[in-house]
Amino acid sequence: MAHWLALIPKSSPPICTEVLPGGALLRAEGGSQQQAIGWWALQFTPRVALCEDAVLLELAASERLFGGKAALRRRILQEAAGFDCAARAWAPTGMGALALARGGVRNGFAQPLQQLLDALPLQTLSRIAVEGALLSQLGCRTLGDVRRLPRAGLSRRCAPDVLIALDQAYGEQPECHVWLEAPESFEARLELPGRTESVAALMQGARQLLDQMAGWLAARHAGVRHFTLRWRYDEQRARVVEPGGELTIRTAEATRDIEYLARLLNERLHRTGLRAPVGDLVLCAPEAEPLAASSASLLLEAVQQREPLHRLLERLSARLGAEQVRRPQLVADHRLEAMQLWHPATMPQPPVAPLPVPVLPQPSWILPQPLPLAVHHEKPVYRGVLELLTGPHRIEAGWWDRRGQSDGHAGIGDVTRDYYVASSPEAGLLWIYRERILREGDNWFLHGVFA
Amino acid sequence: MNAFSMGQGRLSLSDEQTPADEAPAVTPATPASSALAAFPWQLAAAVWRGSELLGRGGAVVPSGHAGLDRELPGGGWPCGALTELLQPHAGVSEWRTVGPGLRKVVAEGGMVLLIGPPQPPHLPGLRQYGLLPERVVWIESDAAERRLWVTEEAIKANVRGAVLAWLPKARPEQLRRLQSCAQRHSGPVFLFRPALVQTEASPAPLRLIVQPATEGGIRLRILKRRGPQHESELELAALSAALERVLPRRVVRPVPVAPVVVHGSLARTDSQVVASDLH
Repeated sequence: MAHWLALIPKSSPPICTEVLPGGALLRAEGGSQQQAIGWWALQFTPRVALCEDAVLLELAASERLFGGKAALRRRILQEAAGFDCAARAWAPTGMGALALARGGVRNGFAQPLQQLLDALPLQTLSRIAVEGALLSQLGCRTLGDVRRLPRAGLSRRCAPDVLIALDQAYGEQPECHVWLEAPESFEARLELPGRTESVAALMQGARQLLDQMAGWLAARHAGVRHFTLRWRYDEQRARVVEPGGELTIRTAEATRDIEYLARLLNERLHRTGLRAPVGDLVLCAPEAEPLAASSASLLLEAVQQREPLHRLLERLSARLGAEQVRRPQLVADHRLEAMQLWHPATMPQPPVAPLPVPVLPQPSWILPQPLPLAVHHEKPVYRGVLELLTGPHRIEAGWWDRRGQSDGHAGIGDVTRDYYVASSPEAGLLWIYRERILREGDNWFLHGVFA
Repeated sequence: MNAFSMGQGRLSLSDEQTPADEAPAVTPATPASSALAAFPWQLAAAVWRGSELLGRGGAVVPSGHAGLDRELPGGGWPCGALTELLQPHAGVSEWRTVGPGLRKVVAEGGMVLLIGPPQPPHLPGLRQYGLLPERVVWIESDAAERRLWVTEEAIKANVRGAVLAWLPKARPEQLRRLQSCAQRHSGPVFLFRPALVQTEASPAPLRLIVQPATEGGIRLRILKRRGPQHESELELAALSAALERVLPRRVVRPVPVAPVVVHGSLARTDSQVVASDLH
């Protein structure tokens, strides 16, 4: 037997009872909440329909997958508690379930459906409600009264689809619905209840959008790798403030973990800050990636709790800024400051061929800028007079590199230096150099430390 | 509790992990004294004498310095606990001290997280300690509070590998928090701090003070460990192979592996300790 559930979101407008000139029923839009419930429901069954102001689910085919009828119902009700549902009903037919939900009856399986539906008022079925004036003149108060009217006479006086709608609700004719499909990309908009400048309040709105995205992802059995939150500032903002802002969150692996994504978004929003009161939000995720469900283990796992490295680095980057969390890349170069590059850890790392370990000694710390050293009796001084242990190691490279002159990268460019290992009683072993092209003043520089 | 453990005749009962808490070792220990021989072996194995190092605590990572391993409880840097390394100046002898131990961490697939180092790390130089570029993360943060937060998150995340954090301004109660987090971490955690804080109490079960020595080596003193107090100073040869090749011979002098000062070595029995203390 078919097994239907009707869910009516709370924010829906009242039932539409107008008929457009063409005879078509004006479609009442339930709004984003209805859409969100629909996407969420798609994870349980592919047969989900947005019907008038409600969401209809046909669950008979999914019962076994989710561990039986009772288990499936329990799970759905548990998760549906997160949405604001005004009414719900189970019934053997979709339109019947919708009518019962509107009539305040929850379980359409408790008694024969016909008995339950007969007692409902005319307004519970929207197609009947359209002919409400005529039917009430005929003395009908309930759906049962309408059913007792002679069918031939009724079909002559009303549009033929009134009888069809009635039969469909009672399960005497097959129903046809347009099944909902989750779109390829996600975009949802939310108007905040009030203008707000606080990140916490904005985050509440964003959280609603994220929950919608969770439903969409669940429907597609997928995860996201990146999504964007856009916001528009209030019209009354200061003139210097741009019309809006946006923030893109990227993760190393596709995920559906909304808690985690919300944490990342929260950290980033706190760092970015808002420059004016915000009116509305748009969340979009251009693409979803298929996500393999993690399989549960048969054995009791004794493994230690570990957070994957990329997650840790993403969290740290979100709080500190992407530039503060870095991973190195080695470069084949002889100049000390050009031997390595540091990239933000959240960026995909470029594949690099392994370089040979350098033959010359290399310091373990490098100074961000070579430090000019004072000279005492022709010997360089750094926390005491330095003793030169070995050298010179001549580095002469970079004549092709014109960056040094053009964009102010002091130090990178053409270098001609003699490096020495020097020993300081307090600072240990140092890597210092002397400029070979003599200039005014100091020619000794500290460049690295053999820590 | 910490003030007590800093004292002269410190007992390891003041630490979190008392020997009686541990499960008895599977192999029956050979009873060293006749008094212990009277006990069943499970009990005898659980009795810890003040002259022994607490070697049965947990996992360790060999430090790569044979002379140092002999003095460390368990024979290496402890995993799941803080190791505090104090230096007169930051950025002078960190890598010579912990670098040889990190080689094993990286070889086993571990990461090395550097939190707030005093200078930018130079990867070509660190490769002599086996640090591969894809295994190193440098997390830079100026604010002391942020650094503490990052350190705590890194320890809690329990990423396989070692955490190296420079926390010059951390207060004892903040370190205590880190230490309690570190107990669930599976790798070593090194905190580098200035030598000035050696008078402060610290919850770290292992504290060392490190200074550069004249011959490119390092001088170490163990301020606190689980076991008898260590009074001598260790001098370790810590020159990298590349430096050793280029430095003149007078600099690269073989350094005695054994402790320079024999006073306070581990071979002493309890009666000797008492006798020397009486003098």
